[in-house]
Amino acid sequence: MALQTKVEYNYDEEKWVFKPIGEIDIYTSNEFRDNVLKAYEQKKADLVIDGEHLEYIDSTGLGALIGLLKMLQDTPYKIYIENIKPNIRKLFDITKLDSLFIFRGENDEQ
Amino acid sequence: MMNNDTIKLIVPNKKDYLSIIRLTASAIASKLGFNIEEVEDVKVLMGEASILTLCSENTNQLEIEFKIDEKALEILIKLDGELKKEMLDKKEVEMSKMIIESLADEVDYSKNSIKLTKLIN
Repeated sequence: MALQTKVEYNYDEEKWVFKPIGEIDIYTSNEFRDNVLKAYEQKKADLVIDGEHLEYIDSTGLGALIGLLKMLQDTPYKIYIENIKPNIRKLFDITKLDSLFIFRGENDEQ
Repeated sequence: MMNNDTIKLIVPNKKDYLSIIRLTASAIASKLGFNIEEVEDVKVLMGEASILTLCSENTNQLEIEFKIDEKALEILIKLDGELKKEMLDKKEVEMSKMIIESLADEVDYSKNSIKLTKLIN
């Protein structure tokens, strides 16, 4: 399974929403990151990763997300992750990345 | 039924084949009666182990052996190249190792192989 990413700007929330469909792995993580960067360059705003149709992510995919987090660290913008499947959420816990990201719809939303 | 059977997969050490390796591993796990979460674990394990082999030196081909017995699924990944200790200590592969160590019941790294064991509950 490859990866397709739906990109939309939500004007009400003033956030970019990315819906990866498929797998973010060593084969597709660069493509995913480039898609996000392209949108962000076009308009600087918060980034939402909607994981409803994300079936799998590997450590390189998590690495791509960390890269995006670093890009935003000196800006007022944030990355939100939502609708993530339990098997993928588990990887954030294992790698202790759960404390770095904001999971929307969970208790730690700020 | 599938006790003491072995399935072998010989595959080039290229990222193009990663999804095939992962799917094979999860198909075997599913056939063995692992639950959905455990099947996902096996898929993730296989994917991360394959990332390590992609980082290894001079490895062109992998021979992956899935050994099945009543207690466990054992995945032995043999490399025709070398898995150096310096590579395994690099920051780039830290997350892979964390994930593998957390999801596998046993992990064994040697110079030319990675062995992963997932117990059947």
